[in-house]
Amino acid sequence: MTEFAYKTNANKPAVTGERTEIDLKSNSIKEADTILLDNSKILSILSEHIPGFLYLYHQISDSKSRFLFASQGIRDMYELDPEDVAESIDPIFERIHENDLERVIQSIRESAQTMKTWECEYRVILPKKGLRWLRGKAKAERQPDGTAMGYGYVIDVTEEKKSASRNARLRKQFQAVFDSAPNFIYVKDLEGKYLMVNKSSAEYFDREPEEIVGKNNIDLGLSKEIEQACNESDEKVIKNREPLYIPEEKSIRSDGTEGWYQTIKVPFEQLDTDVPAVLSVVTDITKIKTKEIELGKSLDIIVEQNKRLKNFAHIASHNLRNHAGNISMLLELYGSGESVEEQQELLGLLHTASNQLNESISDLNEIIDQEYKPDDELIEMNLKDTVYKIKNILTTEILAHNVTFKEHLPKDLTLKYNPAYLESIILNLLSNAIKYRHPDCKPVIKMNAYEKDNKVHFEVSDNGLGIDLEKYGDKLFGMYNTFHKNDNSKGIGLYITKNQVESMGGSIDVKSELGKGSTFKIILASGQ
Amino acid sequence: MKNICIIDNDKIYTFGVSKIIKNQLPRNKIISFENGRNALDAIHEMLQNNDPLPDLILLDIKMPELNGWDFLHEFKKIRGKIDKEIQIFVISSRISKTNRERYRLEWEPIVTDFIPKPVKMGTLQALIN
Repeated sequence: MTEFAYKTNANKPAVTGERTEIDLKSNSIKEADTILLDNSKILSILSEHIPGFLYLYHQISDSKSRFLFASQGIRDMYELDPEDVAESIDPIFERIHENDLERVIQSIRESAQTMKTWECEYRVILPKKGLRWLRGKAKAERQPDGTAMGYGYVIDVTEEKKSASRNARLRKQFQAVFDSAPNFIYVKDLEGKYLMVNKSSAEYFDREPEEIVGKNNIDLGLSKEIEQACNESDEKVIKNREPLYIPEEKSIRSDGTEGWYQTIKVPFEQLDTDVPAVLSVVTDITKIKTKEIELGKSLDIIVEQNKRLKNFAHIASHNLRNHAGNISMLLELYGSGESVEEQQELLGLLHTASNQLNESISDLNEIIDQEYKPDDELIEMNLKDTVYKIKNILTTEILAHNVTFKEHLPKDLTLKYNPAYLESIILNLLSNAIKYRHPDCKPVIKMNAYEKDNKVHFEVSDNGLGIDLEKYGDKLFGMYNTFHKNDNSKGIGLYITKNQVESMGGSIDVKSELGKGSTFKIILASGQ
Repeated sequence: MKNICIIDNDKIYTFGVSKIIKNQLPRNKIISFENGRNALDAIHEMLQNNDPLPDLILLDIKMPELNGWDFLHEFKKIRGKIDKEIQIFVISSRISKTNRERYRLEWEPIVTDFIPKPVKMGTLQALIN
């Protein structure tokens, strides 16, 4: 620091213009003093009202410099008196933070050599205010005698520095949140160009964020439809000036797979422009949605099973109770002392009642059996062959009632199915068509089968009694519902058929007109 | 002497009830139908021929062709033409403690009472008397 230790008139500021004891090298200094003398008063008054420190610096040599003028602002900036620096600028250097001092000196020296504007930011340690950041700037001017002058100012930039560092930290924090969010977060302009994307969004496209900025969805390989839909909703956000919430949306990813997304869009104010932009936060809800769909399916199955169980409980409480009631009634009659003949008759009826009870129990067993074996092995079955097998079983009935068949069954139509189910379904439909034939006309059964959408459709129509669907439609496939007075009607056939069809993923539908006949349409979902 | 009509498709039940009535109250006349349709046709015929109508109907609910409810609806339509008071008792396994009161309110005064199956001999005797 010694090289800057100039010897000047210590008590008076340079601007007083008094003669100093320094051996002045040239007349130019005297001249400068005179000019300053004239203007110093004005300058002093003016500078008092300006924040910061104004000065005129004179570098006489590499090792000698002084302030020809130092405003009162020096008190604020350096906590020094103007007099303190009239002859030497050492007091200022003593204030400068030791880590910045070398740099400051270097910059002054450079400016004095090159005559480039001096500009420097540095810390000072002040007795009262402690650490402050200062910014200095001076216009350098070469004097005719070769010395350098600097017209400059110093201002306190501590607050600016603080807020700049706070801004930098905020930006860093924001970036951390932005990039670590699993959601896709991005900002786009109304032309669909990405202005900002976080890491997750970039990963969706399998790229780096900076590769995406400036591009639109089409550039990135998404479909025109998606791009259009995105832009439309963005426009809506800007038009209505309010957030847009899209609870769920199905979208095709760039790799062709299907995903579900939840999106929130809000108007976004850009930093340096008023051009409208939209911030989107998109959450991939595919996993949740898949679970939800699965759950819905399970619920349907549970509802269906619950219905069956209720139906089943219904049988147990009503049907069995009727049989039991009959048996106990017959026993009571038997006990009330009748003739031998009558007792014989009652015994016969008891026998019938007990048989009915047995039959009911075995029906229930059959139903339980149906409900609990959906995983039986599937076998490639030929539909036409199976129909003929069943017709063979029904030969007696077919001949007895002179049944005519009209068939349209493709010879090579096959499906993967549970063989017992397929046979049971066909048997039930054909035997029903014969059982409920119309007494006044010759039974005709039409069968039609075809493949559509990889599923086998099978239709059986008859010209029989028909069913009043308005009345019984909801009960037709229920358990123990009968619609015709027929001794063989038990009310479980169609119930079982429906269960079998549905357990294989198919469906059954019926059209019927009383007195005209019925058509059962079955979709036998093939296992392929 | 009363004309008693049983409408039920359970043949053993019909036999048993008829027998009980015959044994305990021998002077009554019993006719039975296995569904509502047959019973309704018979009632129409009785009305036409001026034959004596039943005093008492024991009606089941679950039957093919025309079930108990359908019968009641049809009966309601022709009730105006009948000047005789016919008591109807619905006797069915569908009747429970919980729905009995509701049915009573719903079908008053057409149905005298709803009685759950199986029915006891004593209950039957009380009904007929």
